[in-house]
Amino acid sequence: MEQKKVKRKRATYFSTLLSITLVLFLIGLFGLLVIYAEQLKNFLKENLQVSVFFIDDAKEADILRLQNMIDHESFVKLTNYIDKEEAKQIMTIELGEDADKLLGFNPFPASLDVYFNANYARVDSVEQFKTEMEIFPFVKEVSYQKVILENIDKYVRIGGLAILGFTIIFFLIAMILINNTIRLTLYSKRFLIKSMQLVGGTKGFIRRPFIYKAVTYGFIGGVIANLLLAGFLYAFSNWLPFALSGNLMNNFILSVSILLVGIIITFLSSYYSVNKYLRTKLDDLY
Amino acid sequence: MINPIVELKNANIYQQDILILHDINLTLLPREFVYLIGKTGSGKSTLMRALYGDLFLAEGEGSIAGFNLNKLKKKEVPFLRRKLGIVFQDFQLLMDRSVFENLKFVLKATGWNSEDLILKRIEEVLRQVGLNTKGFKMPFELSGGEQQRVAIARALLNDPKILLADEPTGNLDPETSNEIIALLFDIVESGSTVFMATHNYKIIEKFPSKILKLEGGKIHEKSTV
Repeated sequence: MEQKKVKRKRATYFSTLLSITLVLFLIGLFGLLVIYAEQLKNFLKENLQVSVFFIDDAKEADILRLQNMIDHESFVKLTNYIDKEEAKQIMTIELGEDADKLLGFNPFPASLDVYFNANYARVDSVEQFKTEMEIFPFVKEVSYQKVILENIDKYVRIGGLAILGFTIIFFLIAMILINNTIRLTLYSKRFLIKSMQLVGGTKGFIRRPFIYKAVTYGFIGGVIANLLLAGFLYAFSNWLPFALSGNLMNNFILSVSILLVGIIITFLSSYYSVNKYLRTKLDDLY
Repeated sequence: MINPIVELKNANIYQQDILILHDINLTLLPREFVYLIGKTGSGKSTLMRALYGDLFLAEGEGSIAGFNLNKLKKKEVPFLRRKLGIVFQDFQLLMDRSVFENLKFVLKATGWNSEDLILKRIEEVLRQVGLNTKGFKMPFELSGGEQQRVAIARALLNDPKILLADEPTGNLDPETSNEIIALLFDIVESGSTVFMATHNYKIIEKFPSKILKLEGGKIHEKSTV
């Protein structure tokens, strides 16, 4: 019988801890989205490729000189020169056919892929760059995804607001969920609380161990949620390289916030729940 | 002149807004054993609850163990209860901890800090109720009679001036009931007052003492059952 009781106690402990951990983990996920929205926007902008195509007669020395000049511009993050041969190889892989064999000549021009720093990756800056490039006689064409560049800011802003909205709603739901979990746990202890009161325990003395236990749940739940979030970031760092780089302060603030949310919600819910049972008359507990 | 442990004068006791007992006059002296009898619903438990501060005295005068029931504040109730011993029909033990921890809780709650003194006091009261080898047991591992003995041990921890027992034999068989009442009489011998609500008239015949009867919301003294 005692073993059964211990098992039941353990099951209650784990289910309470699991609920709190999951809720805090989800809050953390939304927090990460808010934190990384700006970095995601920069990531997308800095990966937008502006391609400068050259005429077939362009001399490689001219192109390399141009590349060197562009590399020294503050708005440029990275450039990558692809000569005609390399372009043909890339396209052969992509198309599955060797255009040289098919057409008898290599139709792909040499190009310079330019990646902008996020702050300059705006349509007006890119358009100005395009105009300046097209002055060079050996430049055939400058192309980039204008529509995407125009909309990155808009969509990231809308997405950020939506995430913030969801975070606030989810935060409220989380508070209600954790509160209910703690209240349910304490509901099963209502007679115990009343017995403690009947034998002369003061409210503070009775409350203390219940609050301590609930806050411990909140703290441990917060620590596990943080570990899960760290694992999540690590797992996604291959896809989103910025996930583990920089922003340490924001990550630290998020971790501390998750711990605080866990501790504060469990403290408040246990405080008010125990108080409720301390105020309730014995007859009303049934 | 002997100071009474309990004194109620023209007391009216309400549950929520309903008047349950009226014009209650009651005096309990030190080392008295007093039975409180009456039909189910006559107000025995209500009177007990008023005495241990679970119901407030709205009208009349009253005092118990030096506490004025008319002026009793909510925050003073725990301190009143520490001066009383309370024994319930359903024991009200803390089922999540051992007998020893049940008793320790009360001592800790009432300001005992020394682990040595706590251990010594618990051993004393467990010996007094004949459970000196059962301190490590969980309440659910004990029989009903043993659980009630634990409840009595708990009530004795702080040397109460009065022990209020609300149908303490209500859940027990006759033989165990006799043992519990004999134990309560021993407690009176050692200097406390016992005020016990009961339905069990056989016990009263076997252990005769002063009887008060609740009837029609009033209290009457009886010479026999």
